[in-house]
Amino acid sequence: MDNSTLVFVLSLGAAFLILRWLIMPIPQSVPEEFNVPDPTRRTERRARPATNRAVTESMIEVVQAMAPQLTVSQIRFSLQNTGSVEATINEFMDNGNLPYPPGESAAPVSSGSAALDSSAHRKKSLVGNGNLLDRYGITAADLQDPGYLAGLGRDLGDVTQRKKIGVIVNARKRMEKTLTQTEGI
Amino acid sequence: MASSDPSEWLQTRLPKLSQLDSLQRCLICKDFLKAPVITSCNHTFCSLCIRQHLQSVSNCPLCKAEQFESNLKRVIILEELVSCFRELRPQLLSLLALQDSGEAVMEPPPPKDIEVVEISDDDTSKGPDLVQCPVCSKSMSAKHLQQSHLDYCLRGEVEPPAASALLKLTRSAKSSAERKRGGISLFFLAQKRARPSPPPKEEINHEAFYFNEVHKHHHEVKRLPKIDFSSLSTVKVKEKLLNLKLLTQGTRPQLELRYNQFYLLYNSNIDLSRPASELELRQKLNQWEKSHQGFSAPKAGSTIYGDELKYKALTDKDFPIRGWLKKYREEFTTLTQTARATHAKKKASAIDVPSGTTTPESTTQSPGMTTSTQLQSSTVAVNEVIELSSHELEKQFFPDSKQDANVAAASSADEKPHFAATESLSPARSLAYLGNAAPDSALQREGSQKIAEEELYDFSNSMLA
Amino acid sequence: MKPRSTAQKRLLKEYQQLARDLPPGIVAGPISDDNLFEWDCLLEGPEDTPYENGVFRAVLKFPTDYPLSPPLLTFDPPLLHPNIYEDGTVCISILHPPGEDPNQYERPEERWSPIQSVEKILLSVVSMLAEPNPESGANIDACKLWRDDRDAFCRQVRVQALKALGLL
Repeated sequence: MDNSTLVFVLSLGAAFLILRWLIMPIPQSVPEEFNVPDPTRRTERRARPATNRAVTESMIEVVQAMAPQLTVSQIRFSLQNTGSVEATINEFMDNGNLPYPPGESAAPVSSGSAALDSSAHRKKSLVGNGNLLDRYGITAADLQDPGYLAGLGRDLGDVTQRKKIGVIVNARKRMEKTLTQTEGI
Repeated sequence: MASSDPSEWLQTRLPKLSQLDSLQRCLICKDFLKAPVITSCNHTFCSLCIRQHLQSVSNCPLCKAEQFESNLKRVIILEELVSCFRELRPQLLSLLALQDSGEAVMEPPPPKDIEVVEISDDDTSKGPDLVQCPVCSKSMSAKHLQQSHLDYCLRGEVEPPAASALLKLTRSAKSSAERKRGGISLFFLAQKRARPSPPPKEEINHEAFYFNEVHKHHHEVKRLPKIDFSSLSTVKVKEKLLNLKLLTQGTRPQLELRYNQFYLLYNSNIDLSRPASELELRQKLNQWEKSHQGFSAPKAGSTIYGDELKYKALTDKDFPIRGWLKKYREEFTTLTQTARATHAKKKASAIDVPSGTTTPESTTQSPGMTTSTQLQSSTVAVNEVIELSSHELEKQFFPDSKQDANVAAASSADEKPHFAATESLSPARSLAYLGNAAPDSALQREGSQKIAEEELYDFSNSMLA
Repeated sequence: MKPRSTAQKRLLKEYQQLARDLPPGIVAGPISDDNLFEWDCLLEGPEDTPYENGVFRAVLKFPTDYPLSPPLLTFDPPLLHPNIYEDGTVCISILHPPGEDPNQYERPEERWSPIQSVEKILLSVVSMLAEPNPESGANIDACKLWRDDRDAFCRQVRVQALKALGLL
């Protein structure tokens, strides 16, 4: 790279930093990614003030959207240090994880897999009992019994329940008929 | 109060009265209109029902025309009509009841007071409006009992056979019909055999009220104003509640709910011709608070349907973000992993096409080139990942880098992606901050330089081979 | 008797009315007499559709401020249909509160309002079974199948219907 470009680039960088200082009262810490494998580039580093900056819920939520596996305390700690969502995200990208606030340790990873299992299990149970006969307590014997539907009146006080069982049994009979018809063909 | 239904008229001599009945009902609560008000689009509802509806949506439930609460108007004559009808209803029902298959009811003199016979046992199959004679315990309709049977019974005589035959027919017809209807009729029995409405304490003359007592039509009571809570501090809100002598305990949302509900009850009460007392309103408010889920300990992520997250749309303003993130956390990670994997595969297949050599070639590249190529490929991979999780954030933080995908990348692109990402993202992003095209071209030039270098390397290799 | 809320009163009335004159092919009622807010419905598949002769169960969950908010309808077990999500949730316009996605639906009368009823909901579900709406697809795979390979779609539906009736 020739010198003029470099000078140009550097002057732009300087202008940008000055503008940032002017616009934002709290100095943002510039990410350390300036030390690219090009030794001629000048690196700038601003000290990270360790003050507590205002961390809003929305900031935490935004970071969570990017990195759901992080805990809220991790995110909050990092946000307090950096003061900006983007810096926290950078840190996350750098390390794959954010530093834990003092006094905490890494949460066990097994919880994630356990949750995965439970959701899979939940899905399975939804599909599980598709059999309406089981759900309404209609046994095979009931199906054979010609007087089953008529006899329901005495056992079940609820008319609607009776109707439902009637619908199921009748539909099954119709379906059986169509099956045998198609098989015959 | 047992619930009534328009279908009760279908078993009478004038089934069309069911239309008259249902027209006098509010479409929202399906009960008789209470304090009916009319909308700008000429539709009528109970004052309370439509005001509740307008709290969430500003349109008419029937025709969806725009409607504001302030435009609602009372319909005094309709209120009197409905009240009058409700008072007459039980008598009308029994008067017009079908005795049996077509036989005319015996002409009864119009009863001055309502039949008072109460049926005590619940599981009689004697039928809904048949009563037992206290003397001989025969069941018959109340009218028949009063008019002719009692006379005979008390005299110790037997009733003329015609009458008793009719009676038997009546009884059997009614009870078989009863049995046919089955269990669901229990709901209706509750209405017919319930204690008939006690004679009103004061007979309301609706005609007189409407035509003569005009001064009673307008209440000088001021309505409660609608409050915009977002502009008030909690202290002010509590102050307002205190002015109305309402409780000030509870959280801020609960206070708002309380005010809104009292506002509803109070304003709809004013629309009544005979409004309830304030004490009654407060009692109603207390009852409502006890049963309302907003005042019991709320669980995180609970909605009016229960705990399900899926019952809220992503665009709802109170979509439970945290709960959603928690639930789908592992899906996020699996998605990002698959994205990385597929991208690495894509990269590996892309290599083979342009250079036409096999992958071992790439591993022999010099470390310096490896790093830079890794940079670019992992940049793209990371960009894809970010796209998956949040498109918006990507635009904000990461530019749409037009990295050259043709560059031969190591198949080990997934190795230390974060490390590589640091280096790759930094020039891209910092250059984006500068907002200048020149740096981009500088990077591209750098990239193309790398390609040239690499092709040279290939060439030299093939020469040596 | 505990004073009934407006939702309970209205749900009771709807149950009474529905039990009195059931539309053909529909049976619905609360799961238990104590809880009127959850209903169990059986829908018969309309004729001349892949769902013919099948009986499908759906659950209606009513909110506490019914009828101001619409109930939720879920097929349990889930049914294959372009407008039914994989977990069984049904996506029809009558169940959407107004104000959501105004671009999708042209007529606001199709949306939820307090004057709709359980009967109207179930009738519109049955008509949805007869004529799926490919524009507002919920189950993309089902949409594709229905559009591109109708026979495979019918076969899968038939399998589900048979399973429900215990014939498979």
